[in-house]
Amino acid sequence: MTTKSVTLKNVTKTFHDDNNNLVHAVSDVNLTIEQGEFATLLGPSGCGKTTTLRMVAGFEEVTQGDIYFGSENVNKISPNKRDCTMVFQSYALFPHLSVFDNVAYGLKIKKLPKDVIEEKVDKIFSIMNLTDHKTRMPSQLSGGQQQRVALARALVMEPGVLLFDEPLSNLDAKLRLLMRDEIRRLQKRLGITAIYVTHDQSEAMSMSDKVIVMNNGKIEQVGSPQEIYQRPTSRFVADFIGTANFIQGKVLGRKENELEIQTADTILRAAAYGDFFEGQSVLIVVRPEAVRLKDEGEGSLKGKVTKSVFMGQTQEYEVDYNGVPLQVTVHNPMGEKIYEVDETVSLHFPKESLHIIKG
Amino acid sequence: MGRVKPIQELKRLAREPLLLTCIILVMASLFVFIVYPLFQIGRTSFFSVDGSFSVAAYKRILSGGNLLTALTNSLVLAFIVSILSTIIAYIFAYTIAYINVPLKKLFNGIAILPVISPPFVIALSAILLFGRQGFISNHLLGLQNANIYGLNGLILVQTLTYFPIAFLVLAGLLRSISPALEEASENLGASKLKTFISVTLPLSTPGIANAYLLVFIQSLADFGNPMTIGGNYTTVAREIYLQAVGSYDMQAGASLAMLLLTITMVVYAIQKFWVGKRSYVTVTGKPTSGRKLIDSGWLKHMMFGICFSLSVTVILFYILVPIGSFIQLWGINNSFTLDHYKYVFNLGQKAIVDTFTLSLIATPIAGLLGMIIAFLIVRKNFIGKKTMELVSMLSIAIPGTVLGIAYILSFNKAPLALTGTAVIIIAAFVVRAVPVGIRSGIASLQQIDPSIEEASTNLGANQSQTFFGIVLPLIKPAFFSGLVYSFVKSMTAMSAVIFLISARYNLITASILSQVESGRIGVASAYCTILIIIMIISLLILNGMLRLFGGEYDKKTKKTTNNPAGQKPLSM
Repeated sequence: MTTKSVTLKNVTKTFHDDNNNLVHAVSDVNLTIEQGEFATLLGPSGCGKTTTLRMVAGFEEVTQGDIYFGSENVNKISPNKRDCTMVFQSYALFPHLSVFDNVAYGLKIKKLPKDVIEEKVDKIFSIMNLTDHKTRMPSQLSGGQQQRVALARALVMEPGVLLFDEPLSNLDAKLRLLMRDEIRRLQKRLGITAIYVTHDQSEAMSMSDKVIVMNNGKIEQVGSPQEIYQRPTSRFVADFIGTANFIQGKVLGRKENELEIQTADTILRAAAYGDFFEGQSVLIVVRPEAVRLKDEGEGSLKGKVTKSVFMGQTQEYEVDYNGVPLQVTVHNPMGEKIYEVDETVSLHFPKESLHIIKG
Repeated sequence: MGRVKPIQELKRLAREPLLLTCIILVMASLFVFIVYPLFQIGRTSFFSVDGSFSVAAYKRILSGGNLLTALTNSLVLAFIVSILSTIIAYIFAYTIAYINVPLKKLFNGIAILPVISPPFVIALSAILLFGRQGFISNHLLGLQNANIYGLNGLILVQTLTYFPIAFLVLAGLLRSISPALEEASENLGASKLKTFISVTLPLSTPGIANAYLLVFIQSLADFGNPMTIGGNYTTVAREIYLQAVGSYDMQAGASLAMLLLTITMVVYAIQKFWVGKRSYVTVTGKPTSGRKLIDSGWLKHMMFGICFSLSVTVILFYILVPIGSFIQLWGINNSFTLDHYKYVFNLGQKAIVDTFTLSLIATPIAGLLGMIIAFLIVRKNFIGKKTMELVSMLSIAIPGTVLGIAYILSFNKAPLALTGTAVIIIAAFVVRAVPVGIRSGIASLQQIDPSIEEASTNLGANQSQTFFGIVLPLIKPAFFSGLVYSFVKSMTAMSAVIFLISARYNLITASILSQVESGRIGVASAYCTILIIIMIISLLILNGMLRLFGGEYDKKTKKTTNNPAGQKPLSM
């Protein structure tokens, strides 16, 4: 299996809407996905992630720019000749063909000898535990099984690139977790390049080597799941991935690799990632689980609890801090002190969990 | 996903030569066999024989006389027939949807009879029953001068022939009205009658209008019944034929055809774009369940009585023809004979073979073409798609006689000298049959998730592999019903092809007509019987084939595996 890298250079997709206005579905996207990498396009509805995937598959033509598989430009290659297979959101199993025939479909189109087809299909069936369902029709399978057949059908082609278009969105929550692991395991085992589209951040975080966050047709940030979560480069990314609190401030100065930020009532220190200059207004990103709550008087920063909800694993608070509602999560609330609404608490922001972005 | 720039689109099409060829071929045949002939009618109607522009023919028609009478006669007839048909159809549909009566299957079955029946079975029976030697008129009532020929006969015959069309529309509509609406009305204190008047009836008005207009078009375009039983009551379809073929006055024929075409197009447009948009009921395709049927009282008995007696009448009319075919001379010498069949087998063999062969050729062409056009319209984006859709849709409203005269005007000289050939008859068959195939193809494709086709492309299949390997099997039910419809329509076609037959190719329907005209009702009945038998056998074979190649695969598949059509994925 020769898996391929995928490169998008200045890829733009425009189309005319019903009022003949020009709409930029994707604008000027530059991206490289390395061989064997699992890359996820993540973003809200309408951010252009599916359009990008469909351009890679060839279902949509690029308006401008180039797409490369390895070093080969595939712009002019029609979708049925591209070395990539796709797992569809609706699975798109052929309802009139048996499970075996569904999986063998692409191999038959390739006109491979019958025994080779059988061998390949049987192999993929045993990898995916589908052997028992070979002769069934798709309608006789459960959702999870249909999903696996769709995956088998794409994998059996030994494509250079494997594409996923929100493949888990039709499954129930439990099955989704299972399939997540299974897809990731198979992808790693086969070492195949994969591009995965989803709007579910936990899916993106748990599966990917590389997450590409998109918004309004543009790439907001590319990075590992940790980078995306811990070092977001924009307010959008910080907000979209997980929950984030933002505290406004101004850069006072720089000490070694740390920035001093003047906020409304104190000075906070945080590691500096990126270029900042003195006097620049910035936002401090702090995740709910990073904020510590203590009794009033144990610290200088004061807040007032406005909401306190017990969730089992966690206790969720909303704390009014200088007019800004802060989300605070306390894990394992057993044995911790529970604060009630209207109580005044002191707030602590550990230095290592603060992150600065441009304001 | 919005519109694409034309240039971009052309570039894309150029990369799919098969698709491009397909589109060009379909466009070309739509142009040659629909647009161009209609254009020829218009031209002929506005230019006199010497080539100068004149509206003389229209003036002649509208200034009164025979031709104007034909026009008004047709409108009066269509007006009355549509009202009667719609009322009867509503009674049928209401009974089936709302009342717990036995024999619902029979009542439903009556509705498909006119689809498969040759155009003048009922007219023939009417003559056998109410004609000068009619069983009822002469024998039972002893009338000497019974006259079924004329307006009354036409109303009777057309109503019995066309009410099932209205029934199909209304039955579907009433089925899809949610019982919850009526229950809500009763829950708010309305009586059953009040509920019917204030809820059910208003909800079904768009359907009533629809049914009315559909029958109106059918009645206007009807050729077979006026020819058989019209007597002195001339109608416009018949007059077009008489002008063009009888007196060879092409300009008059063409002008009348233009007027008829305009009327049917307008009525069709009203039905399609005006009434169609007014529907309150979204037809989901799945019957709403749980209506509590009316199970007692005078209403049940009355409605059942009406439906039952009407059904029996229709069936009687159909049985009468085979009986008539074995009787020496109806009403005068009622002895059993096989003479009529001998006559048919001696002189009519060619017509039977021709009809069968030509229909057999036209059937797969129309069936496949219908699916291809439906596929192009639903799934592909190309310049001229709207035109293709419009032309193929409007062609359903072209009356047969108009198409017939258009063809003789268009194909009698080079480069398209097709008059007298099999090609022109086959073309007429196909054009008449294909719109129904397109419609069922479109409906069926819209149920299917487009990503199934994308999956096939993604796995390496080209356009034709995807179409024949995936799309066609998925819309097989629509494809087969298109085939059946094409075959049946071709076997029983008359109004258009009557203009096109020649010594080389004769058709059963034309033979029946000439027998009726010369008063040999027995022979006509024998022809009719043979035609019906051929059709029943062919339908059984087609049905067997459908079963052999696997009927509809499990319907649930579509529901569980795929997004319903139109439901966009969550993101772009």
